[in-house]
Amino acid sequence: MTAAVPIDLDDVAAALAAALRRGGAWSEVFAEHRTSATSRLQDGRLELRGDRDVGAAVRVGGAGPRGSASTTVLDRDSLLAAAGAAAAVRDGRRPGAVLRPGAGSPPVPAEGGVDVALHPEWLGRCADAARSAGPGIRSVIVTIVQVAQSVLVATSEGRLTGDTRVRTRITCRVTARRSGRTSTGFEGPGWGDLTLPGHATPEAVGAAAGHRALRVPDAAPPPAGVLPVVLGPGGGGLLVHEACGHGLEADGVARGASVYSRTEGRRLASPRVTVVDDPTLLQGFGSYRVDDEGTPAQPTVLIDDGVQVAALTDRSAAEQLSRAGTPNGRRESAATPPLCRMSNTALRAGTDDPAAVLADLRRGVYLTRLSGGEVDVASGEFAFTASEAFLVEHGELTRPLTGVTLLGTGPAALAGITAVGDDLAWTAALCGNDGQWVPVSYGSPTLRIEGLTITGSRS
Amino acid sequence: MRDLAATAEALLAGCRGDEEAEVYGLHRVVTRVETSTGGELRQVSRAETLGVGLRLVIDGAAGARTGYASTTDLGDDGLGTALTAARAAAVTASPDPADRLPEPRRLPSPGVPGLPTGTDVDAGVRTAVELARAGGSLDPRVRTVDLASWREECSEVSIVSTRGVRVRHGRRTVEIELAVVGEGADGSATGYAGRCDDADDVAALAAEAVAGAVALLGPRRELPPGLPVLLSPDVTATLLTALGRTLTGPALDGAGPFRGPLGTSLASEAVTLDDDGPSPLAAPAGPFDDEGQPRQVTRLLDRGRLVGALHTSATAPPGTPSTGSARRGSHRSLPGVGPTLLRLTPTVELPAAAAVLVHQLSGEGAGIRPVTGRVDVGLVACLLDDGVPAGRLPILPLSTTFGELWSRVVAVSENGRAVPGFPVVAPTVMIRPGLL
Repeated sequence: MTAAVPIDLDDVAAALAAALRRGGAWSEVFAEHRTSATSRLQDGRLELRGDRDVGAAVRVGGAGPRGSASTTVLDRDSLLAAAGAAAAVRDGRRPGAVLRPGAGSPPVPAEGGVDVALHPEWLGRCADAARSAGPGIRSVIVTIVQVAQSVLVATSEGRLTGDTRVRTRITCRVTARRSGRTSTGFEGPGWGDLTLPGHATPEAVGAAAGHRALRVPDAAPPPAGVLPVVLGPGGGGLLVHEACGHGLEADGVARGASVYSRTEGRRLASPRVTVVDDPTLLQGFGSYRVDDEGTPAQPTVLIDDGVQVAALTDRSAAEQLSRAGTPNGRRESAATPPLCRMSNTALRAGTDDPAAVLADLRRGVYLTRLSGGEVDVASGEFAFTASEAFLVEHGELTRPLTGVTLLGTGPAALAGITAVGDDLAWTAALCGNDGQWVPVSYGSPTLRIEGLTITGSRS
Repeated sequence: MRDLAATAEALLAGCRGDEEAEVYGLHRVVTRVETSTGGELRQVSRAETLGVGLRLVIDGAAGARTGYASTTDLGDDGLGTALTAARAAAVTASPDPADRLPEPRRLPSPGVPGLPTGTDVDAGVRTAVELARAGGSLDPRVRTVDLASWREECSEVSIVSTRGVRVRHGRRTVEIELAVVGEGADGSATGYAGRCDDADDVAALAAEAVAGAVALLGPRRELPPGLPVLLSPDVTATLLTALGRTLTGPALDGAGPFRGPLGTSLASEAVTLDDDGPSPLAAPAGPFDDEGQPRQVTRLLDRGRLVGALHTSATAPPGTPSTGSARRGSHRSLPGVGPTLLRLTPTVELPAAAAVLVHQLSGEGAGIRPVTGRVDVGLVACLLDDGVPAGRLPILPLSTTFGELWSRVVAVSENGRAVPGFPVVAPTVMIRPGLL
């Protein structure tokens, strides 16, 4: 069940004051209570687990170095010890001022709690659907993770706020062996709710993973070289997230470590390209009402009609860049300081007819899903692996392809977008940065991109 | 209640007589110092975590069932909630004959109980500042120091079980890392270097990161045909870790790309691979693994032939002991099987000739798949001419299999080193021409 964060507000106020004794412009206490339930069905074997975490972190910031310390013991002594450790980084010459946070409990919205009672049934339905995809399936692993997290954020400026976030993710991994080849299929939707939505039934998840695994053994290596690419609805979301979103996280921009550090205000893409980060997305996997620094959630337009207009900030990056902040200070837990992070990031739907976009492709590659990839934020260079791809000839999908990798750079990929469909779709994921993992989602409509390099398997 | 072992015993004492249980307790203090260009101190953070994980086994009519629960709420209510959650999970779980807790075994040496005392954080600040200053001053083409960090982890693990396991061990580890961004007329590039020892030469670390960045600047050159490929230690670390995950009992039993029997050739004769569990370089170092079984050295590949596999008490064949290869990320994880510290035996010194030197992999998260054995990644590389960087190459696609890759290894350097975040001692490895 969800619960309020078990912390005394008098202790919070004392910690805020103690953190500023050696200076700093502001101090902050973040506290959380998180329950999670995980169940896993692997080839008929069911495992379940439950986790409960509490923690609090005290930070001190402003001009100069930031200090942060956390504890999993939420009593006064531990909070004061954390405040002292956080304050130690300051030089002691400018004691900071403290306003007492607002009285009463923080506004933590009530939500339902995690409940594993339905998990076995969902797992079974998903696994059955995966195995029904066809002969040759060797292994099916289905996992359900549900999380309910209550957070409290209090600052020395008097802000006291909170949030309760819930999320569910169901993943299915299928291993198949046909014609002497082993292949895998994956599907893993997630959403910001604890009930089962209509678009992600266990049967649909299992069937998608099963069919994907079985399709690969029939697939051929792709043609290598520079070819036009059409990414199906949702298929380009990872590219938007990795090749655009990470480069627009303001800490890297401020350090001059991003390929986008010097391009704000410049046109990067055609006017049909608009990229938005939106933590208010209804039931989004990366949604929240306030970020982990207490900033109220709102959408941030990053690329507006092709022009780079903003970056995603946490409080420190906003101060460093001397600009108003965006609600993107996120932390994996109390044990890790906030970073500039994305929430739900998408390239907005356009007006092109997806069927026409594909029909117009004389020879190229159609990708329904990128399974993973990585970007060098400094150079913008990336490599993405496709989990499902097809050769396109004269507008028709003529055969499945395997081992397809896309190579390019983020700015070149943005500049190469020549068609934007009207069929935006989302994908849930856990995003890693500096060792911290947070839930996000990324979305895209059908896209046509010119100038990317396709590489393929020889075996 | 802050004493880890006492907390673990208290939780164990709450179990009923017909239940078997194991409590894994973790007390961890992580201190991290981050600096940037010019040695500017960016952030100092300290995180203290106390948590326990409870593995509870009930023996029903259909066989043993396991439930798991963890918590950082170590008060009576928190521990009670964890016990209830583990019990509920066990009742619902499938029965499995492999669900058994290990018996205690004699350790080669006793653990060192207690949480080690950390270094004065000022020493870490000095190291990180020095690292950032060195990284930013060695070459005018370095545009910025993206990160210079010093990270210290002091931890104590305590494992107790109703079978009689009682082990404790504390240790301190340090990692220092530097990432710089170089810039030339043709674009930017990142250089990285990391070590698992704060006694290392900061200047050498900075020189390595800067050399990596500037080697990747300049116009892209064409890839000449027929060159061997050199994998830098950081790249070897990624690929060797993936290989190690295919050499566990479950992986060799059908969950991975390789099959036995012992003696099967999986790599070239240049590849002799051990998992060196007791090594002090191993991140979870100590005399026992994450279910309290003694660590050991396990030879996995001998001149390319499969000679061993990694096991926990649950995956080991009946009558065979664990190889001490149970691994957990923290108190929140059930033990799985995996390598502790993979070490390749050096062959000969690598010739300083023309080659492709791979600095980084791109897309390895999804592109290296231990289940299928496929590798589909981009290589961030430069040309080497007589051992000297001779121009950046465009990102090179690599589409191969674990088997093909490791069968092409012709030499393993003696320059192996521990790499932050990887269970390996990683050297430079030479691959014969024809891979790209």
